[in-house]
Amino acid sequence: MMVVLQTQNLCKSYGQVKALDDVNVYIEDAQLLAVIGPSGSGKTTLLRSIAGFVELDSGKILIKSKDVTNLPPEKRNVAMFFQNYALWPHMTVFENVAYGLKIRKYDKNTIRERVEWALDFLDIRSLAERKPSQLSGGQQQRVALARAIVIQPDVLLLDEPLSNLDAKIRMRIRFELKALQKRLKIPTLYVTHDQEEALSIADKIAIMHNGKVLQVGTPEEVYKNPVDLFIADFIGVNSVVKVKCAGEKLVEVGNLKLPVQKETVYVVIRAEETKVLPIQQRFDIAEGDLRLEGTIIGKLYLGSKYRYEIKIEGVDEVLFINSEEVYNVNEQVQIISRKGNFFIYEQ
Amino acid sequence: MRFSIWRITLKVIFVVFMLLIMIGPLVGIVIWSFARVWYWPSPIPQEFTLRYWLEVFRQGRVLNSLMLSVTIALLTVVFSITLAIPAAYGFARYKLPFERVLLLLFLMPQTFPQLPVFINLASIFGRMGLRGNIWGIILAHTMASLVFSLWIITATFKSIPVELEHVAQNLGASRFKTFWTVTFPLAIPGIIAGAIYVFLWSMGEFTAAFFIGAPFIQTAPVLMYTSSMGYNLQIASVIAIILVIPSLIFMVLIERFLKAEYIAGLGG
Repeated sequence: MMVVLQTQNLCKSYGQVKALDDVNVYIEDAQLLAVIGPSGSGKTTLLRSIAGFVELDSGKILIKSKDVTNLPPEKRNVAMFFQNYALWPHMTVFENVAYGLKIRKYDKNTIRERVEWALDFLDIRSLAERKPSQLSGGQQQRVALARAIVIQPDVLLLDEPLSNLDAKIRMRIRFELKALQKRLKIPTLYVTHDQEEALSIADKIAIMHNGKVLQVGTPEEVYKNPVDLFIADFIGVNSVVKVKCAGEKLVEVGNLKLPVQKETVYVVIRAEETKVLPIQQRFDIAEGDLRLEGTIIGKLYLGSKYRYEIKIEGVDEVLFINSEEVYNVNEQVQIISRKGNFFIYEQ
Repeated sequence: MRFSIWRITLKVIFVVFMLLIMIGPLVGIVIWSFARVWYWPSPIPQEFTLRYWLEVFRQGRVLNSLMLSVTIALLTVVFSITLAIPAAYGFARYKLPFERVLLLLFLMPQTFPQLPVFINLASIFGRMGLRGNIWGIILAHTMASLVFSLWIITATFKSIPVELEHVAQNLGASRFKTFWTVTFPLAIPGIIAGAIYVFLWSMGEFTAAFFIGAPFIQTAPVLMYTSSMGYNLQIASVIAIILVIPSLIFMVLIERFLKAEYIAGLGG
């Protein structure tokens, strides 16, 4: 295993706001690291600082063990993919893709060969002589990607690459992008606010919030073992039960009695992996499973299933849980969540 | 139906009115240049003649003045645009201290009445030996026209998304290379607009050319002014028409030439 990209204790403040707060991430070999977080979490600042467009307050960036912290953007050999593609409107597709190679002073034949390779790779050879204004959004995205990979960068930086595409294409491109990254074997840092996208595409995920990296792990790790409330709630589709404890040592949430030290207990329930059953139905719950009783107060039809709004006695927030079963509003139900599909935090 | 007829009528009235405003004065000047006798209220002159056109071309000094004006205007464009491009780039891309104040400072020569500004400038230039000298006029025109070129080109640079430059840098281009391969080509339409404006302004500028150039240098507007002062309205009209020609040629040429070069540059 070789560490290709490593950031060490990156810090950057904009006035009072800490955009990067002691950020340490690394990419090994040809991994795809997805950095996710809500907007304003610092993920884009991290990406831009690796590309060299952000002057850091402190910290170090190493690419292939070489310190690039103080190098200008043009000397870093990282290729960045911009969210809005940023294709040059005055150049054809071919010229856009050839730009990085021309700057590197390759001879004409090599440039032609490599540009054609990149265009073939992304299946856009036929568009070579067009101007960006004559391309669809999906085609522009491919050109921007071709322009980035053709220089054979040490690291590929992708800034919300799928956010400008419509939902249907996005699902397909996700697979393509993953396959492409695996075939090219380029270490990639992928910034997105879409946790589902990150789970499906990444080898590793780093979750950022308020400039801090809260957890780094494989998609399974962050989904199965979120280290704190923010991550548990951010990843997946969830409902959160919030119970205040009035100075007691034990708090009752459904069938569970939880020892508490702090003021509030949060139970994050994975809405996709929770059962909604009629209240009378007998159901054997194992040690550590969660069982709640509630009343359905609203429902939405989602095609293959329903999304129920469920009110639980003594809990302020209503739960949103999906189920294939059909219930009516005002019906009493029980909610069963297996151990591992819900998480308990104190704050 | 009635509504659309009204609309069309209004449109026609509007177009005729606009034509009157834009072309009306020009038509008047053209007619005057051929008029021997033209008394009010007749819509056309009582007698036509080619005498004044012939006279202007026979004298030769009109053409000399015209060449002088074109030379001054071209050099002013070169200096003004060359100075404006780096300055405008600075204004557009960097947070300069007192940016607003600086930009307004360039507006200063245009905010005051032209007469005292250029009379003062003429006396300063006199001490520097720049009076009665085309370089004095070029310098004055460059200074005064910087406001147009600077504001137009700054706006152009600002309209180019900074990401387009970042991509180039990211792909390995230096700041300088980025500017020449990305920013400058994209700014060409705005730079052309600035150049045309400066050229036209310099071609028609009278006050500075008069006070700084006199008595040896007579640009076309100065000549036009002196001949109309001598109540020779026909000669002044002929000069005015001739004065429009280089401006038109310049506008057509610069558009054609630069666009062609622009496209050729992209092919290689």
